[in-house]
Amino acid sequence: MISINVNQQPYEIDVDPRTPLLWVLREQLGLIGTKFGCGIAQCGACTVQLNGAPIRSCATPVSAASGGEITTIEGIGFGGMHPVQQAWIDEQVPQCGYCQAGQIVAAAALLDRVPNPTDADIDTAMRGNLCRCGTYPRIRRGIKRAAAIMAASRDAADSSDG
Amino acid sequence: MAMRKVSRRELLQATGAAGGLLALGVYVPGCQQRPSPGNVGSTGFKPNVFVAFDASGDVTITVSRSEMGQGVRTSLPRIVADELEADLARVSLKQSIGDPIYGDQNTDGSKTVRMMFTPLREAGAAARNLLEQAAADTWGVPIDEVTARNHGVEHGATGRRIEYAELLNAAAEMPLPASLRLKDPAEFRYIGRSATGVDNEAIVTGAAIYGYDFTLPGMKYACVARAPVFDARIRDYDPATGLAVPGVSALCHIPHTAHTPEFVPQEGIAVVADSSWAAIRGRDALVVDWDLGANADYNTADYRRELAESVRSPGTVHRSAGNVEAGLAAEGTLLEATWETAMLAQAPMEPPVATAWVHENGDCEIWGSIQDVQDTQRLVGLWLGIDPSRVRVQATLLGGGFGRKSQTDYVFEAVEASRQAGGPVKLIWTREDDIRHCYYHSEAVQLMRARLGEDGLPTGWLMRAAYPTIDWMFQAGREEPMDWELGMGWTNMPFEVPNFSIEGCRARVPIRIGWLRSVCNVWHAFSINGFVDEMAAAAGEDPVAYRLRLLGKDRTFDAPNEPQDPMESFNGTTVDTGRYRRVLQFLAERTDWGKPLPEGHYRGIAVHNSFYSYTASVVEIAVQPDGSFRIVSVDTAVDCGRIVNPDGVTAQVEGATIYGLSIALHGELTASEGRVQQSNFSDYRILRIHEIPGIIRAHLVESDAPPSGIGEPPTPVIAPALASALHAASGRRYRRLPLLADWNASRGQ
Repeated sequence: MISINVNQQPYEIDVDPRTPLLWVLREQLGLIGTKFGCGIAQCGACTVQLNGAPIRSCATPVSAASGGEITTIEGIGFGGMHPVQQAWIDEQVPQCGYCQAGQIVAAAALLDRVPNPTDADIDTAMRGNLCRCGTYPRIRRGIKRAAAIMAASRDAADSSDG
Repeated sequence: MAMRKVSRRELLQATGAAGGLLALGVYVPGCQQRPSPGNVGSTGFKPNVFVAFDASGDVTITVSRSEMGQGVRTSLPRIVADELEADLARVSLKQSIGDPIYGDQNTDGSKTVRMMFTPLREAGAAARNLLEQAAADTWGVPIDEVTARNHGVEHGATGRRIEYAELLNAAAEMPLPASLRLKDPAEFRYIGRSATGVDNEAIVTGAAIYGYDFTLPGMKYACVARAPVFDARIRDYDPATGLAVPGVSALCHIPHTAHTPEFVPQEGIAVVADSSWAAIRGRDALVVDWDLGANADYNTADYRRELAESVRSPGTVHRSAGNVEAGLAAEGTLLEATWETAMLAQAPMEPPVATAWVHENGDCEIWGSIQDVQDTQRLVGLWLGIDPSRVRVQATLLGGGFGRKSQTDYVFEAVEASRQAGGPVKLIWTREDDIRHCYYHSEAVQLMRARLGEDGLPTGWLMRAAYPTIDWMFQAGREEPMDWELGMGWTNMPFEVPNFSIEGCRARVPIRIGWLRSVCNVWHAFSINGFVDEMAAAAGEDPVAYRLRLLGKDRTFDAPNEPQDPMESFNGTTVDTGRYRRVLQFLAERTDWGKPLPEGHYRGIAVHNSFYSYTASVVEIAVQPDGSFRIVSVDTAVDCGRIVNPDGVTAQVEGATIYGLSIALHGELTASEGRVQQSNFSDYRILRIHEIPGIIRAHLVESDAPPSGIGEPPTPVIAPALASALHAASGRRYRRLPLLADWNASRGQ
């Protein structure tokens, strides 16, 4: 049995420890928002966060994620809508949408680390996430809009604290 | 690219609107099933297959085409709802299964809005007209005094209003008026306004269901060990090697067949298991001894030489004028060059996938990422030897298509695995499967030869192309391009030339060839624009000014090899050189073509007509001190007729620009000993976010012409516009795709 924590829920899984985390999330836990795209950490469709850092779940054995806190697209908004998800709707980012869960999870991790990212920051953080529909210009706009939403809510929190 | 054509009349009949017989028990000639009669009373009002009111007045609009990111689930219901005067808050969507009652459901060829615009307007208007009549009867006033508005009918003179919900019973009993009253386009309320994608919330929260996500209780998973070379056969295999992998429960033989019906799979062994991971591992472990067959000698370098040799000899003439030999023999400058383009894979982010369940009684259900659910229904019926009505095909959302999911070999594999293993089976493809077992966008070699007269215009122009035909799927042994392939950018070229010949030359088919976004337009637009640039340079003229002169005076004509089905062309006139001219001039103005550029900046331009739309692109690059280049901006103008969802069109232009840049810069697959040598995104490069231009702009031409294609038309202009910019920067002509390798190689010399 392997213990993992996903979206703040503990799970005990009876599975070969070498199984990629991706397939455990999708087929054992039913969290189908995380996608298969390449199987070799080249496209980012399977991106989840492990302790806040983006990882490629298709190339991460489930055993390597045991003990950490895993966050998937289903948990990224903590039961609501994460600012990145809202920004994705506001900017009409998705086309087919298949890669977008990975994009959003990677973008959220970027914004946690760099609250006001430049184009260069975005290029560095997001170059591992492919989109065949070509939504990259809107992904850029979406990240900047999400940054603004998050800054505004921080300001509001600060002023209410004050 | 539809091989089976459904006439406009047939489609209108399918919507129940053509014959004036709507409403109760819609008569749909030629259909295998008739829709259930329009319902009266408490169950609501269902005037045709696209519109169904429930008793509360809420309405369900059926989407009959597949959603793969092009936005049909957003745009099609808005066409119906506009004519219906529906309140969108009271509209829900239903994704139809494959069924002939919907008319053609083939989601490709950039034709969904093009083909569905008028029938869906009529479907909405028919329902509205009946509701208006019911209101007029209730009030005892003439029909022309009432107006439907936002889910109700109003009588302007008295200020009275009745909600649709209260009119449903009366409307359901009414015959259709003799003629439909369509809206004046000036009154459109949804058509022409940007819309929010209907699936976006589900997509961003991870709740959207794609083919890869579809699940049934007790479902098994399968992955196929598949012929590594086109038409290779299994000599022997060792079942123990696959069955030894934990979780693997069965091995199913996917038989070799002749290539009919189309899209049948290659021979293989489906490894069935209790998880995707076990199925993939079992497949990887399975030892199969292959008889590689005749195509094992296919390799890219030799094949290119074959194609290049082929265009040296006359081919089959598909369109001509005057006497090309005489035109070429005249006095003046002789130009000749050859263009080469690479093999590509569509590579949608979601690889091919389908779930099939062949029941014990022989009926079959299918769910998956499928571009044509109705044709899949027909083909699976043929495969299983049962009537298509016993095959139910439901499209999920598609994680991209780009033509790959028009070819449903993976559905046959799923059906065969379920039939043999029993119970529902999800058949998954890995990325390696996708890149190595594609229906490829083929390599092409094209020859251009022209003689320029004193005025700089061609007195004779010879065009020859050699590439393997997609029609290998439909007619065994065909070894040269088809009319409809040359019709994608060559035989429908708009230029006025006194003597020309457009020829298709022999090319064998050593690997599976299929459709990729904009298909043959990719290489045809590349060669034509490249050659016109070279003619302009020889004439000492600006590329835009030269094109305008080469076009001659505005005219319309039927390109001989375009589909003549009115649903394809609307009015039988397929090429309008005035629209071609105007989109070019519009873009030249928008981009201030000819203005001085910053030091180290260069531009190129290309224009093309495809899928009845007209597109032009300007690409601007900046050459860096180290000799590399950066793409500063891509501006694309499109005239795609009337636009349903402007932001959706803009998104398609942005996406097609990036798809076109992947083709232009990186796209290349090669074969050796019959096998494709690349396998994943590590060696088959597609554009990443740090490579995109800083500026991608869409310039939309306002038009009240019938809607035409948008998913594909902005793709083919990108590579020639970039090649033209590279020439401006270097003085060297770039005639081979992908461009980046050539640019780097030429700098190294």
